[in-house]
Amino acid sequence: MMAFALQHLAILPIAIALLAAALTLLVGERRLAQQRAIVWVAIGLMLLCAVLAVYRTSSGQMFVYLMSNWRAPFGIALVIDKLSAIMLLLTALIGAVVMAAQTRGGRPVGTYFYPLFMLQLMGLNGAFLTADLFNLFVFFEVLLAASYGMLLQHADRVRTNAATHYVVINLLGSALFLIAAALLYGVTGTLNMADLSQKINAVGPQSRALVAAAGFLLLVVFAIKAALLPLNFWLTGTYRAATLPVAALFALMTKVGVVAIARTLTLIYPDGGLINAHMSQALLVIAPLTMLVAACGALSARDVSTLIGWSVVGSAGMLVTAFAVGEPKAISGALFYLIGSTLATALLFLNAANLDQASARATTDTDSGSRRWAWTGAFFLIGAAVMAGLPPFSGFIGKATILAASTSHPAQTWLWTVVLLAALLSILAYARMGSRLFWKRDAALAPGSSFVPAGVLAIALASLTMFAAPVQRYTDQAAAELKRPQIMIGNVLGKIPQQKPVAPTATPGANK
Amino acid sequence: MSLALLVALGVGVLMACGVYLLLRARSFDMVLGLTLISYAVNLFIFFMGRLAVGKAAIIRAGVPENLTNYADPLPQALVLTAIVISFGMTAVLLAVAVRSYVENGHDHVDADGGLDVATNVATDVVTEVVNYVPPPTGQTPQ
Repeated sequence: MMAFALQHLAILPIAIALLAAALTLLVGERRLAQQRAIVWVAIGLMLLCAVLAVYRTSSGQMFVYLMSNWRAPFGIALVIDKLSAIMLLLTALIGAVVMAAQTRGGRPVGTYFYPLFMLQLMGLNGAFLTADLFNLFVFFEVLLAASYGMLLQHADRVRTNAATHYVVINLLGSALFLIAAALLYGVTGTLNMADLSQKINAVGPQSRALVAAAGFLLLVVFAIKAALLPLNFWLTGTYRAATLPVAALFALMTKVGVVAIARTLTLIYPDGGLINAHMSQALLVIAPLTMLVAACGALSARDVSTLIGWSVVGSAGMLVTAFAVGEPKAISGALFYLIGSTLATALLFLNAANLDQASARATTDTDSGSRRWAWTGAFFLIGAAVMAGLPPFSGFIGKATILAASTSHPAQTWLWTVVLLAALLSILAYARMGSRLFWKRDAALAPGSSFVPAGVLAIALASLTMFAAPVQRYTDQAAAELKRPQIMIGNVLGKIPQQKPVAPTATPGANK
Repeated sequence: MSLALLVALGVGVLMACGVYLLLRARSFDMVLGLTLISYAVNLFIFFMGRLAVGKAAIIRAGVPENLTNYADPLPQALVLTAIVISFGMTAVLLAVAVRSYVENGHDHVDADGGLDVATNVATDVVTEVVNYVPPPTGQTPQ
């Protein structure tokens, strides 16, 4: 059993989610209890796989899975390195708490919510695992298609309008992605990221411009997903329109873009390679500007969802800045910040789902009411502290690591100014929103609110601070692994397909 | 060479028309625009396997297996995937566009607020100026 799990570890998170989606469809639309049971089992298995992946990769192992047993540049390869292991664990964890919020809060469930939910998790897992550019496109489409479905549930006028923008910009992004992938295939003849990394550096001078164009097109596509500056305007509207547990899941989708940018900068166009320096320079302008604009947006937000949406944009800017700085320590800090900010965004969204902003100043001053009210406020405070980067939470540790790593960088003044200014503005934004919501009582507790999922996330954030040392050791290793793409290239291209067991009676032509 | 030029021009014209239609910001034009863009992209992927006349992608016995004798099969497989995905996504987009039209009563993609209202107002103003009939004296103009 264990041997089977280890052999197929890289495909299991995708296969389990797909199977669960199919089963929830088969069970039937009306049997919600059975659907929930299937989803819970699937998420449990995904958590197990993710924990196993993190545990196994921490000892330096890298899992390469050859689909259909085709050798690496010819077939599709799935890879679990430390970065994908972190992302698998985050996906499973956030999937679990979103599921808990969805079932405990007694919220109405839209048609086919659970199949869409599982397909979304499948797309996320696949996008984090794949080492093939075209396969990455396919998993992007899977997770986007599922997110269109979930966004359009219980759709009213506002949601439909937000969904229109979201669908259109993502379709355009997909078209650009295909152009970039086709260009790279046309020049290098491969789509495997590890193989691309080698072939791109070997292209002749007449094809350099094409390869550079493809690289920047990829960055544009991933910047749409990660919501970097000129391409971020779809995000706040979309997140505001989504039902809040779904928005918590969407918080992972910008991270898909960030991880893809990280792969582009470290694997496809690695350090010292063809256009890595140009890419880093461009991103070092765009990403800090994204943080500034996001902080201003947060300051101007009138409701909690918009505020959190802008913080998502800001955290994407912070992460991409760190990846563009490119020091191993900065990447390690970015991975640490990525874990913290994803959990905090989910916490803030789930917590906001407990608030009813429509009915201001409700009179819920009974004893249990105010205790629950205090919890809501505390969760908001924790989430805000992580997003703004205040000690003692993980946001501070991550940001401090990134800033410390950029001291010798030529753009240090610019980076420090922007990061610290953006942090100050976010503190102001959160302080204002918090005092309005919780002191002026501009909101009330939503009926049927549930605190367990948000509580789980708060505990996770607290333990991320308490166990910061082992986590940071792991992210240090992950960063070192990312900075040495030869490890991934060697593992992927050197992976030998499984030998078929020879059937003793089979003779050539016997079946014909 | 002339074939390559023709093909490149075809892809370029499709893409340009698609971008133009997309920028018109009406949902039907937008759907058409995205469809044209996806056609352009699909053709582009297909041509990235190089232009080949009279070559199949299926291996025949006795013919050496290289790209001078066969067409590259991989872009054909990729384009099949891309066609299926863009077809499905266009269907989703059409559903969203119809719903948006029903909910808003008009087919502008930015239904409320911002620039879109300005363009709507601008269109209305132009229509009113064109159809302007001077009111009889003594009445306040509408």
